[in-house]
Amino acid sequence: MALFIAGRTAQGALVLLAVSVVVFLLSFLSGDPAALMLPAEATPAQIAEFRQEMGFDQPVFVQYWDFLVGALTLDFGVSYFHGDDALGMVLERTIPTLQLTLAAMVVALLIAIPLATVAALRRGSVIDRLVGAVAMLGQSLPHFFVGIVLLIVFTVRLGWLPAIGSPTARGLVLPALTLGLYATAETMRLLRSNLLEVLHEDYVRTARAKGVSRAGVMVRHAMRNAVIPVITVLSLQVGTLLGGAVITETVFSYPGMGLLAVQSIANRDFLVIQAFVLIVAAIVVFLNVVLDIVYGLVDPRIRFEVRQS
Amino acid sequence: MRTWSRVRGVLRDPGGLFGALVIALILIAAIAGPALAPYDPSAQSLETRHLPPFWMDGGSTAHLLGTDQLGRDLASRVIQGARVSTIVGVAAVLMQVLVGVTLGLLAGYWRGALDAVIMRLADVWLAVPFLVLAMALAVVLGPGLWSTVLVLGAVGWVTFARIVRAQTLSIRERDFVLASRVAGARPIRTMRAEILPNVAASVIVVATLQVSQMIIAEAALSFLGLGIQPPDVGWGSMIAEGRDSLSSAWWVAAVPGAALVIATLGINLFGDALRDELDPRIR
Repeated sequence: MALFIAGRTAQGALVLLAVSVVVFLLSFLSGDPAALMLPAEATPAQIAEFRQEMGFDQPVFVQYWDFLVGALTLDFGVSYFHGDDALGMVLERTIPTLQLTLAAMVVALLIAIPLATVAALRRGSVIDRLVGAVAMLGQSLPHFFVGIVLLIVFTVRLGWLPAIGSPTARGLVLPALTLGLYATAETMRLLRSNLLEVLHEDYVRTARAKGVSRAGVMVRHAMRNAVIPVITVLSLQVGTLLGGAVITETVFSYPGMGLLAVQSIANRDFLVIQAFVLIVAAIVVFLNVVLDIVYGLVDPRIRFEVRQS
Repeated sequence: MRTWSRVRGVLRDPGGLFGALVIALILIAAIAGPALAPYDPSAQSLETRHLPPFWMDGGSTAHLLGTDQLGRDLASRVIQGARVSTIVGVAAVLMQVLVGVTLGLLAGYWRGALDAVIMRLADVWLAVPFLVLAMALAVVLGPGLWSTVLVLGAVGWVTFARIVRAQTLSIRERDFVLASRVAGARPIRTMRAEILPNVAASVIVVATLQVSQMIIAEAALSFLGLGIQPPDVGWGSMIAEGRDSLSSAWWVAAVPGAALVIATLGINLFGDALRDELDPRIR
């Protein structure tokens, strides 16, 4: 088990290291990182000075080493636009984004679990097809447009909720709904197919034969075994949700790290964008490693498979 | 001959038929847009600012879907926007297929170190959410139609690489692949002539569904100001423009939004029907 945990952690660390290389190389794709980080109206003399100050005149490997050491010691440099520590700026906004993501997950599960259960129990029925249609519609809706429709209805027309999102109960409703609906369709589809698979297992038939009611089988036997894949689905959706949060936060001016990143683009504040990408990747990788380890604890087969390969 | 029966199969499905009609409409708008549009999509007119669609009070049949903050005809702009969606959707997915299928075939066929390198690369791409990576790359490459295509193509190849690799791993063990190798075919030929035709169905289905995802992604990037720039007209940037006047003229954002929803829904329904027809195994 210790070997499994160590192996999985090392694997995650390697992925993050590779992400850092990609993020670092991004700034070179444009040809001149200095031009990317300075305002458009900077003079050639200012650019030359900035280049020297940032070490852009050094060989690439030296630069990457500095970047990596900086990232490991949590020093991404100082935002040229704000004069603040880039990492600190992003970290400050991480909590509101995680709150939004968590609330959105709750929304997605509250909608997906009952609908998927009914659809799986009454497979092929009108309800099942209706749920399928809703899922199809959900996957076709660009969620920034959903956010705007919600704004038109609940803020402009009805005046019930504030237009500006915030990590408070009232301010979180519309952003969480927007982001949650984004993840609902996929969650529903996966949950339904997993439930269908479980419902055909022998132990479900045995339970039914012993006289357990349909609902009883669902709650006591099928659901329990379908929950593990749901957690997997959600862990996969963390990345989707964090990506979607960028748009949601922009629609509602929600003070998360996605909005900060979008504002940094306008300000040509590339250091903040680099820090943002790395932190998002770190969250995704960390959660995936933790969940993998949890599965290894719950289900020895997974540990075994890893050892085999 | 089999192609025709499959086309009929897709069109017999109500969703497939609806999807085919939507796709036909988008293509017509993309190709013949300027001839179809009632107005010049960028012609401004101060007298006709924020006119509502024709069914609302104050709307007129002169501007069926209303006008925006600069008095531009929304119907003409929506028609014009179909061109950007078509170009970005098709070109970005072609690029993804080209890169993803090639890498997937190589990884699945050769396995070993090459497979490990390609799959670890895929892990890196998957660790960063699609939109976040697209954003960062778009910042570096700058906005515009073709850099948007490049961004979405470079970020989305992983989907195809993983599907093709998984299928190649099992197909390469089948007898006809062995026969091809025993007959002395070089690996490139075996991959092209034996394995590629067998993964094509899944690739076509996933590519269709991916087109709608890329249309949404382009709209999202443009909404953030990182995608299409004027004078090009895209639905995402139209929605962004309409955001400022939601309380007084909600239709400026809602009209391009509806176009986007109908387009992606149509393509997804078509892709679903295509999947039932071509590849009933994957769901």
